[in-house]
Amino acid sequence: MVSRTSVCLQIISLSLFGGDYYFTYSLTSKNIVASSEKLQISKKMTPTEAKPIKYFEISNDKYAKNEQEFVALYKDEITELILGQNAFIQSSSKTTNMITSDSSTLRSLPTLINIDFKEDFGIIGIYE
Amino acid sequence: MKKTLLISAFFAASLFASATEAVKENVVVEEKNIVLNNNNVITLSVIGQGVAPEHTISPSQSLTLAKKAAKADALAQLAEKLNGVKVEGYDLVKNMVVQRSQVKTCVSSMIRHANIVETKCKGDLCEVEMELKVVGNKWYPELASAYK
Repeated sequence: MVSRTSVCLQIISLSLFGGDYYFTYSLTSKNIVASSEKLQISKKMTPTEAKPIKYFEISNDKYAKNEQEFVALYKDEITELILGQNAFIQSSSKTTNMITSDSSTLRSLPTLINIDFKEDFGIIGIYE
Repeated sequence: MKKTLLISAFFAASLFASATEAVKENVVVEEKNIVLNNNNVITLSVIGQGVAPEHTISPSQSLTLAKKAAKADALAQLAEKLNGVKVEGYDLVKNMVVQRSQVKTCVSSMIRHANIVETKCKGDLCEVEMELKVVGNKWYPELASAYK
């Protein structure tokens, strides 16, 4: 009974507050070759009272049919926008007997974004 | 008499021209060494490089990963310019002979509002030109206090 109620609540929350997503990204590169990349997208389940501070427009050239598809198709573009706003870089190099190896980790903090999907384009709003 | 006057005028003109050139050169040198202070805005510009990995599903995936690696490299270079680098040196000397020499460098920084100016890809190598505007009256006090 409890699980049914929670599922119902989740569906209601999705329909009511749809459009807000958390994006978390990390990329590790070793000797300037990307070795691992991780992108986590999570839909926000609670309402957001604040308003986005910046808006960007992405035209729907890949013909996404709905919001979820838009997020899936344009995740790279959205990630790029987020990295422009905040990017945490950690880089280290080690030179032993004149041989150098280096590694860098690029991360973006979990960033809340709003996606307003229209047919021809999508408006991406980035929260503070 | 006229000839000597003409020659001396020519020499004087050439001397004046070389002096103004030197002044111009000085001005250029001063412009190159712009330092952040409370009243100015400086633009840091870097070029990051990334190489495509060998084992990928498709050429487009390797190109995308090369671009991302280049972006990470560019951001690391911006962080170096902005916040400085932590350097650790370690030498192991035994019987007056260097056995092992090691240098470690480390950069860690949060970068916001960096712009990608240009992305170039040629073969396996991708280059990303990135720039960051640093506003003096906002960042100079914080950056200066970090070195105290």
